[in-house]
Amino acid sequence: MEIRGSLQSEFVETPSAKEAVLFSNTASFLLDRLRKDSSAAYVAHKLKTDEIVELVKDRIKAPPASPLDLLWLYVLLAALSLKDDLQQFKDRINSNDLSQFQWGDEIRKYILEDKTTTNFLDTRYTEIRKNSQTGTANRVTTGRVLVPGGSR
Amino acid sequence: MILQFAVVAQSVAIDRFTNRLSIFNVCERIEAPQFPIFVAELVFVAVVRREPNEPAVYDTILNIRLGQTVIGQANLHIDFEGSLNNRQVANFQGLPIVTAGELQFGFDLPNGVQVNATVPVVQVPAPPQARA
Repeated sequence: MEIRGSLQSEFVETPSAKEAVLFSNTASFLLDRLRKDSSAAYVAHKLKTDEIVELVKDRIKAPPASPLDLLWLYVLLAALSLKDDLQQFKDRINSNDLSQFQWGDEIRKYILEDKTTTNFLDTRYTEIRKNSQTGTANRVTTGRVLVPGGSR
Repeated sequence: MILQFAVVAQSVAIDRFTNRLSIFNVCERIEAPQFPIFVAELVFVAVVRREPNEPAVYDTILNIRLGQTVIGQANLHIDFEGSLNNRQVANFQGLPIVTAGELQFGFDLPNGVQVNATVPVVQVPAPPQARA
């Protein structure tokens, strides 16, 4: 509950998120809407992935008593889909029983499906002819550019 | 492990929601009236595929050559993270080119397959000077 306390409900229970939950007729449409909604972005920004996973676990202990309970779970799942390190928590997310929530299982399937991974390498040329290297996404890499003339 | 495609372009973007890759301004040829030149923005993109029994993590070296000369090198970490596809995106924010020739970006795959993308760098006549 402490984790949930760090979220302000008005930023999660937004009118657009409520509308998405009420009017969506498929899980994929709902997920697509919520992923673009400020509510999912807010949760993803505010909480770490493991905190969201814990919160999901917390929310599914009891069957949903109102549409707002559904909204919270769907927003949390949509927020998880925005996290880069989601695959590390695959087992924990799969261990949850989401069957009591109408599209819980389907949304989980969509967010955990295999995606093409991307490794980035950034190379910046500097005046002192040394390159700073930063790895974005999932890896830090190193490299150098040899100039002028290079080496054989 | 096989190469699906490799290309040199000005920039790429990956859609956060769909994970789709978009490549902007594919670079087929670099032209300059004189050398050296400084290419401000260049990106090398390669998409590789593996079989389920092939290694999911592989380290190799990206070589940037101009003709026979190595003008750049970087460690490339290929991590499929359980998937069968992987994208390699190498951003160059400033790449000096000292002469005309074949600019080649390349690395080796574990089964000996070479991944290469080549862009010809050519010298073209200077545009006529404007008269006062």
